[in-house]
Amino acid sequence: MMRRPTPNPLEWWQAAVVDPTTPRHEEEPHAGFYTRRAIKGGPLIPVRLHLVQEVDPETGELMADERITSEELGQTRDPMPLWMWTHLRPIMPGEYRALVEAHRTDPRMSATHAAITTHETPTRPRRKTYA
Amino acid sequence: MLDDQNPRAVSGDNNPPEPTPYRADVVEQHAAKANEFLDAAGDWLDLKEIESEEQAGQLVDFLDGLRKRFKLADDDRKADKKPHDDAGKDVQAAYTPILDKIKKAGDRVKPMQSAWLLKVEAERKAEAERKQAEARRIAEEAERQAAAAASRNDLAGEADAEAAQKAAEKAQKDADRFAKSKVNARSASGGGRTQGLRTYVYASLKNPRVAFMHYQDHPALHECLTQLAQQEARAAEFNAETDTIPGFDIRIERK
Repeated sequence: MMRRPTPNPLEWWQAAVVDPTTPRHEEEPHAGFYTRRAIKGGPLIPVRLHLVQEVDPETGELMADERITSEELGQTRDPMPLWMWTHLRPIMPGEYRALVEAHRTDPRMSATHAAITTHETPTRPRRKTYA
Repeated sequence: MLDDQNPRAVSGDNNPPEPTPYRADVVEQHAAKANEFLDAAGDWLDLKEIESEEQAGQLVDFLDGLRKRFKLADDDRKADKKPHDDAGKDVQAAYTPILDKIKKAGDRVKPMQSAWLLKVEAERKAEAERKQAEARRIAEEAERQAAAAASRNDLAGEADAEAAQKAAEKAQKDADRFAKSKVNARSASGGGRTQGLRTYVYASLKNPRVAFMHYQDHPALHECLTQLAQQEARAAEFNAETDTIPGFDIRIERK
């Protein structure tokens, strides 16, 4: 039996980013760009889910089962607990990249388990945009 | 002398600073933070306009921070002001009943004084009229004497008429002075302030349309009309898209 790779792994995410009410299955994580919070009021954390597809270049068939991986702030995470137990909100790639940059440059963002305060340090505009 | 070496080394120079009616350290902290945010606001203004969703999101955070800073400072202002407000209320509560009683006593008694002064003024007015009439009569008499003396070539009579003329002028001056004098009640002991009648002028609206035309260019009237129209335009039942208010342009702004 030929096993073809999923043609558009980002299909669900593309729908969900536009329509947040897109049906979501608990045990079926989808590739895409997301954000979540570690605690209530905490900074937004960028999360990326990626579908790994090992494809035979000659036949175009999958050489192994497709598997979902996830990356959060440069670290590989188990995608299932993230998908099932945290509220992942689909976001646009530009927002994802901006969040990654914010975590790199803004000390308030890097403290993921502390509520973010906007009134202690003023938020200044970043000239470089990622949108 | 130590004072010559260091002018600050004087008795009392190490006293603590004068107490302020607020927490000076808290105010300083708020001022420092406010300056920091103002500086950041300058960065935002330098941008001239928001160019991306990312910047819009950052501006949300900045504005949220500003709002929270305002609230924190305002909360501390209220906290620092409260004891003074409470003390002010206590002072008011202590004094107001006394002041009210004194005012009430004065309000009850004053009409008696006014009635007396009005009565005296009426008498004074009658007396002034009598003096004016008397002055006129003396003047006429003096003129008559002068004319009679002149027709008779009576030198003695002319001298008498001249004296009568002077008397008439004096009587007129007295009458004028009396008419100008004001009615008042002087202190019996010299300790109280002289009281008189005060003139109050009141205008009551009789014809609004005519009054409106008279004041149609007055800025205060414009302000009042604008206020009325704003009130109507912001009412729930007013549809800004379709409804109109005569004399006003309805403008819709979103910001």
